[in-house]
Parts: sequence; C-alpha cells; structure tokens
Amino acid sequence: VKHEQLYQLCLRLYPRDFQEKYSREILLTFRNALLDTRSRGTRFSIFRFVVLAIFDVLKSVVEQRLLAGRKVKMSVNRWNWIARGLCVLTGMVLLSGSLLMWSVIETRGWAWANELEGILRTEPSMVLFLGCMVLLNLTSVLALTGFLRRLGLHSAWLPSIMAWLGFMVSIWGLATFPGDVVEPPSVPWMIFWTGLLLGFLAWALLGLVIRQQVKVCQRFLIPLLVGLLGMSGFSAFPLVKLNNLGSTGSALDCIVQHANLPVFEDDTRLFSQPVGTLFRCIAEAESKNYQQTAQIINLKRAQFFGLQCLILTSFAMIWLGITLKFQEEEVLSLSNPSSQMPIKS
Amino acid sequence: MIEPLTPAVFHILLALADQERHGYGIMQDVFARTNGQIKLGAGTLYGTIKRLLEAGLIEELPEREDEDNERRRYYQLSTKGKIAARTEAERLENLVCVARSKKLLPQLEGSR
Repeated sequence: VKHEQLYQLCLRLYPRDFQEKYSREILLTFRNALLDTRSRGTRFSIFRFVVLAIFDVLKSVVEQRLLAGRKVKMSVNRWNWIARGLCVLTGMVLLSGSLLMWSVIETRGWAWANELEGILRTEPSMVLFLGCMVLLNLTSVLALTGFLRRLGLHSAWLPSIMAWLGFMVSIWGLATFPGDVVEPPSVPWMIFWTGLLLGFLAWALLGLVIRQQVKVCQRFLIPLLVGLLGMSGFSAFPLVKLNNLGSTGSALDCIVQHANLPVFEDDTRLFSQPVGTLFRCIAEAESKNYQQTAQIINLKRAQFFGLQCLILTSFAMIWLGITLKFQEEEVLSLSNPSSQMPIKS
Repeated sequence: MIEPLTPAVFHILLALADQERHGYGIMQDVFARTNGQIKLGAGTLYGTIKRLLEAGLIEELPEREDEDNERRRYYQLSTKGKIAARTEAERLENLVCVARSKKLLPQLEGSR
C-alpha cells in the first residue's frame, strides 16, 4: 500500500490532462506488475522494481511536461516577436537599473558603489529608475495584450490598460513624493498608493484571465506570478525617498548606549549586520521606546526588500520573454528523440 | 523520408499486431517476447501510447473488464499503425540482409 501511495504521489506530477486520462491505467498497470514481482521476487527485487518504476514515472513526467509545453500552437507573427524582445529588454534594463540603484545604497559587497556614488546617488538614478518603469509599462501593454490578443483573449485588454494606468499614476505619485517627510494623508501619497494598488489588481486580474481562459498559458503563469510578487514587494521602494541618514547616527548611538547592542560605527556598518541582529535591534529599540530608530531601521530594510523584489521582477520579465516560444504547428515525433525527425508513414 | 521507430514504439506496435491488449497486457507481451530483456515502465508505456494515439497508429477501444474484473482500456493497431509497423519490420529486415551480405550473420539455408 505504501508503494502504491508513493507511486500515486508521483503520478500527480503529470500534466493535468495526462493525469486525468492515464493515471488510473498507469496505477493499475503498476499494481499488476508489483503483484507479479511480489509473487516471485525477494524483498530486494520488490524494492528494485519500485525504485525503477518511480524513476520511470519521473522520467515520463518530464517528457510529458516538455511535450505539453511544446503544444502551444500559435502562428509566429511580428507582434509576438516584439513582445518577446520587449520582455527581455525590459527585464535586462530593469535588472541593470535596479542593480545600479542597489549599489548607491550603502551596502557591503558592492565595491564600486563609492565610485558611482557621485554619479548615481541622486537624480540620475531616479531618472534611470523612472525610465525603467515607463519601459515596464509599455511592455505590460505590448507584451501582454499583444500576444494574449493573438490567443483570442480580448478581455486581457482591460487589465493590461489598468496595469498601464496604474503604473503611470504610481510614477506620477512617486515623482511628486515628498522628499523626506512621511505624511500618509498627503495627496501624492494617496496617488501613489492608489496607482500601485490599481496596478497590482490589474496584474492579479490578468493572471486570472490567463489561468481561466487559456490552458496553454500555464507556462506563463509562473513568471507572471513572480512578477506580481516582485512588484508587490517593490511597493516598499518609494521609501527610498524617505531615507534620512542624518538622524540614523544619533539614533544608533541611542541603541548602542541603551540597548547594549554591538557598536555600529555608521549606518553602512548597520546594514552589513546579519538580519538576525537587525531584528534584535528593532525589537530592543521598540521595547525601549526608541520608535524613531526602529522606523529608520525598518525603512532601510524596506529599501533592500524593494530592490530585491525589483530584481525578482526583472528576472520574471526576462523569463517571460524567453518562454514566449510559439510554434507554427506541433510536430509529433515518434522517432528517436535525438534525431528530432518526424515519422512519415 | 521514413525515420526508424524507437524500440518502445515498435514493440508496442508488435504487441498489438495480433490482438488488442490493455497496457499491462502490452507490457507482459513485450517482456515475454524479448525474454525479459525489455521491460517497459508504466510511465514510458502510457506516454508512448498517448503519442501513438495522437499519431493515429493505434486506436482506443471502449473500456471493458479484464480477467481480474478490473475495467481497463484496450488498444488495437490501426491501419496506419500496421503500415508503420510493417515498414519498420522491412527496414530491419533490409538491415539484417545487409549484415548477412557483409558476413556478419550466417547465410540462411534457402538463400545459399
């Protein structure tokens, strides 16, 4: 029974269509073969049989998954190639942009941060960032609506336009964000978060549209979800604008003096501390009512989190671009896989 | 151009050449016919069956009970499948003839 359960678990790895049609038959066949082996074999031969059977299923799972991926039938047209190229391009620009942004935040590990500091510390980096965001918006419209429309997904227009509007509004809000003061009820604050919320909603809706309407798009779902996840985390990014290094030193002094934590020479050292230490720092600060310190540390962590999520989004975009492979038609090959030649009988 | 069939495909076609069988029946037939040298795994078997069905080389019959009172799906060779199996058998025969002419295999009694 245990062998069967284990085998059944493996069968769940098959693509759903295959699973629905063949998993019962495969299980029956396995059961018959197992009974056969049991009737004339030793414990070792049973064990060997089960291991080989599971290995066989796993190999077959990979094959079926690859085949399912190849069955995306779609005529290749210019729009698809543009969408694909833009996805990769956006991902790469976003990635390089976010890495540059990362480098200008004082972290350990980016040795060239100091050299670039003068160039990228302030406005240019923000311009670069905004440029990336604009490109991302354009891509979200072109790449998503473009190829989804080819699949007959006209309803994808709505979430894509929502995404585009959402991001544009977010950028506007970000551009007008107050430099060093957090004022939650302020108009830019409201604009930014409304826009971002709209964008997230749109991405989620888009995911649902794809999931429900097009089975072949399942392979795009993962990068889209990763992108959504990344963009959600990226919401922490505007907090970069709230960075106030001047007050960090004195706040840290307080921690060092009152909370008896390791000495931080400056905020650069602070963020090269292990995450656990930071958490302890925050907890100590909060427990001793050093709210300001805790906030600053949280802001710093948010910056890192935001940038990491942006990098995640970049990879998702590149991934999405790479996986956009549409074939004119599926060629079923029964011949030796290595030969890649179809049989004609 | 006709490409050789994979051993798994050819063995399944051979198993279905004389009678319709279910998956396990095919597996047993291949095992017995090859003296235990080829034992198809259930995953490989049904993956290949799926491809053969899609290519129209075999046909699926309505489910029915086997000797163990289990409802099972049976498969039979289609006309296209028979042609494919015959073509592959002829290809292999030609190869054997070449091997004989090169004296890699002994000549047959009648052909001397």
